[in-house]
Amino acid sequence: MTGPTTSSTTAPPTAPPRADEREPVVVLWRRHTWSVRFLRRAALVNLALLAAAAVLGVVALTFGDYGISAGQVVAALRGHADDPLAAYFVTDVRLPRVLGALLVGVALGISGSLFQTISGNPLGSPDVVGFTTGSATGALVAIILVGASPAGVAAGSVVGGVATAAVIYALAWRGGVSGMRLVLVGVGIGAALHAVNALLVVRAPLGAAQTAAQWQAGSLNGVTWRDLAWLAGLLVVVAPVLVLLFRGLTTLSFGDDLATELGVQVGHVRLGAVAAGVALVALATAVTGPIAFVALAAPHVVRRLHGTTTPALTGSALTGAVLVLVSDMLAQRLLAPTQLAVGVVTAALGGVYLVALLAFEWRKRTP
Amino acid sequence: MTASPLQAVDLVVGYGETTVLDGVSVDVLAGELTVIVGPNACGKSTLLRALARVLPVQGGHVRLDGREIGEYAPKQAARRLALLPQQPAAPEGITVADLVARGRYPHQSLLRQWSVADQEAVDEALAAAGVAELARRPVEHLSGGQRQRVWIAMTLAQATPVLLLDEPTTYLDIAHQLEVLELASRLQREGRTVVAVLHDLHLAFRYATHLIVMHGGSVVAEGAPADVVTPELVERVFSVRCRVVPDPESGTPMVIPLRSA
Amino acid sequence: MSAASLTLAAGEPETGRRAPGSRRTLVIVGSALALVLVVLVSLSVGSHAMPLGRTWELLLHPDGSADAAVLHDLRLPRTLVGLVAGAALGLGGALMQQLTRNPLADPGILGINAGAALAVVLVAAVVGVTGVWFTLWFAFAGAAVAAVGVYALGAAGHHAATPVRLALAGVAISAALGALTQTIVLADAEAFNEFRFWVSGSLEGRGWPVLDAVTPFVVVGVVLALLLGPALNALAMGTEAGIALGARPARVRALTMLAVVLLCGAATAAAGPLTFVGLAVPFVARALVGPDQRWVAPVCLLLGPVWLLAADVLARVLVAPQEVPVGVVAALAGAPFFVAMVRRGRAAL
Repeated sequence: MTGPTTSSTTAPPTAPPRADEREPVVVLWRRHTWSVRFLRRAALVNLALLAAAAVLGVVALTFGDYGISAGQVVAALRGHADDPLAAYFVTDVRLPRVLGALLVGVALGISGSLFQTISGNPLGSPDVVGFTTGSATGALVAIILVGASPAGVAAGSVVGGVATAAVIYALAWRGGVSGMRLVLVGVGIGAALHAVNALLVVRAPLGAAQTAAQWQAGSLNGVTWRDLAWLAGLLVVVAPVLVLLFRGLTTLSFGDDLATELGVQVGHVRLGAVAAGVALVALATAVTGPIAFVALAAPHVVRRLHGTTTPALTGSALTGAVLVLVSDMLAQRLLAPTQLAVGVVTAALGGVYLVALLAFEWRKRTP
Repeated sequence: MTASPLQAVDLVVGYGETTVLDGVSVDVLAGELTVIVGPNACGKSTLLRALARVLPVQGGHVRLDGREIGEYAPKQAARRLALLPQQPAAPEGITVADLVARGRYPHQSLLRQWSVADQEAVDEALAAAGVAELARRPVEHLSGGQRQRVWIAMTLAQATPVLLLDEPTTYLDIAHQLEVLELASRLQREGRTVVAVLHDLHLAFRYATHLIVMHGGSVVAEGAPADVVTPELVERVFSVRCRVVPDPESGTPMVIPLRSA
Repeated sequence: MSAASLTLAAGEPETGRRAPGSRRTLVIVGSALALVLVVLVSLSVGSHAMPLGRTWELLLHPDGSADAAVLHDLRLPRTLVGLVAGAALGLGGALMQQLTRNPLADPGILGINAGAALAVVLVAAVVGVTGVWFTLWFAFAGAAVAAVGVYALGAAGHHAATPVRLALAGVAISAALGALTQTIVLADAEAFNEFRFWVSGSLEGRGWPVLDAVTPFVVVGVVLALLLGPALNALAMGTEAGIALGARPARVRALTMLAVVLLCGAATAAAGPLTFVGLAVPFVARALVGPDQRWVAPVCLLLGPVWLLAADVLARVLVAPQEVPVGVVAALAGAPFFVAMVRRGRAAL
């Protein structure tokens, strides 16, 4: 297992032996019947990702027209900056952007991992299953039909995403929701909404259509502290839910029958996971627009880094964070002075990295 | 002595870095019911699948009727050799009759899509496996045992002189296990060559006309069960101390584990 | 025995009771009739509406009138393109889902749509060329190149391109190509304008030249797909079972991929990415005639055009005299139907 778990050592559920059970486990803290344990390799990878995120964050804070060195950045963060202008840029202008990238990445990574487990399909992600499309519909309606302000667009995105999720869940409900049915209904509704989005873009005047297209590519410009407060708040609320869900989700990845037999409340776990996943994606999309591919790629990448086959929420979160941050850095610098949209870079980066990973792995393995 | 229809010569088979079979040679005897037994992970399934050419080999040869199996066109080989795989997957919504009919693939071609011979083979196979009355039912609605018999019917529809069965008695209750093995025995007496991997020793010794015992990726004993099965062999291969007595009904060896002290 | 062999003309095992072959034949006949009807309606509807009877007359005996001109020069080629594209997408989708053994797989997932889109956009931005005829060839080329790349990646290291590998490779490459497309589109207004109309799929302005260009590829693809039916059936039970039956998995997969590229590449080149047709039609076909690929293929060939042409009719009628893009209608009209089928539990692969 990855991530912190509290488990009773007196009666562990007998899940079928997994590859990662043979991995060395680090027990961090043990008291009476409670313990906090990590898989060693996964924990090391996660620490490395965390460190990477921190270092890259500092580097990212040096980007911008007003030259600020890394040393000055660190000083500014600690509150000891000698140049007040530098301090201002770091804390008020750039820091929200960097934190925004990290938090959105975390949200998308977790959401992607949740959806993959629920759907039981390697291609299952909120993008494919229609939730992100629904967010886009809400936002496009706001941009093209209403001509709303950025706040209005964000609100439209959240409403669109949540409403779509509710519709999909309701339609997939037939005495319970199976992973396959949820995914298929999601694909159907997603296709319909995709068509609606295309229609809106086609019928709109060129200017509005271009604004819409720009939004759809995702951007970290204009991320405010208020946005971050929302994101952080949501993550804080969702985190305990995730901790509760985690074991159920891991067991669910072995199949509904086995999970039910082991005492997992399959319906509740699935509903909780969908709710959490949708909330995270909807809010992330509201803040930055849809950032493609992170939710799909992060779980795959993490699985290969950890060497496990079970869901890795913390790992996906950290991978998502690093992916979005690196993409934003590239988006700013790659074709300077032109700024690329971050969503474009994540798709390209994620796509290329996944291609390389797959090619490398498949070339290694003999039949 | 009739030429062996299926041979493994110095076979080397592995997955990734692990080698499962390292230089195994086996002659499948024509007209015999050969049973391969051994503890878990001894390579018996691997050997069977390598013989059936569904598993790539890293070294050595598999010969079908004296020729390298790779030299046969796939359908040609499939008309001589049928395999019942261990965990086959039935397409969603398929009926029993349709599934068994797919076993006729090696006999069909662009110009010969479906013939009377195909129909007869399917009917015979359904009857022989005892699933004729289930013909219109969707396979996914059947019990584990019924499904297993349907898959056996499919391999029977292939109408081959050599039949390879990979653990055909899984999921079956004792009555059906006996039915399957009686069927295999009847096919052998009618002239077919049958090779089966079984893990139930009692039934294996009872029905085999020729026994192959494997351990750790090699063949450690071969021959008629009465000649081969000794307490020493059982202890060495299966780590079980036992007595070997003749089965009161068939006279074949029966393993009686000793009680632990 | 002779009575039994007579009923075997439908190519089905006799099972003692009323054979499923007769139900399947009924489905084929029904689909064919629906197709004829939809074609006639498609030829009659538009700003210059005609009653069906007159359409039928003019088809057989063109009389040089204005009606006949509209019919022969505008509606007939457009309807035929819709027929060819619909058939190609339906069949291509069925093959796709067999190839990847994943019900989420639509024809676009092998990189076909992403490759075509990138080509269209590049041509508009770099060369400044627009217009259906030119974009068609570039789109086809782009689709083919992308699909080859996906297959090469899926077969990396001399392995057989298994379903999971192909699906993941397709997703990865599509994403990378899509990113490139999006970059160009955001930077170049002309490319964006061309792209946003192309990407929603349309049959507008598709005339005889488009039909002539696309039909040969589709015909080859259809023949190939039909020939592959029995082999795909054998492989549907697992790769090992398929080999044991005498199928050649690597060859079958490569040929299937070729057929998919021919069919879906041509359709996308002609009418833009209409992925939903390729996703939904095979589901309907399997629900009607079961998983036997030899029956699913012809049903898809018939129902694909029914779906697409019906959508095209609606597209012309809904906001007449303007048009809604056909891809939009196909998805919007099809989605409720598709969801209803999923709920009835008839959808899985």
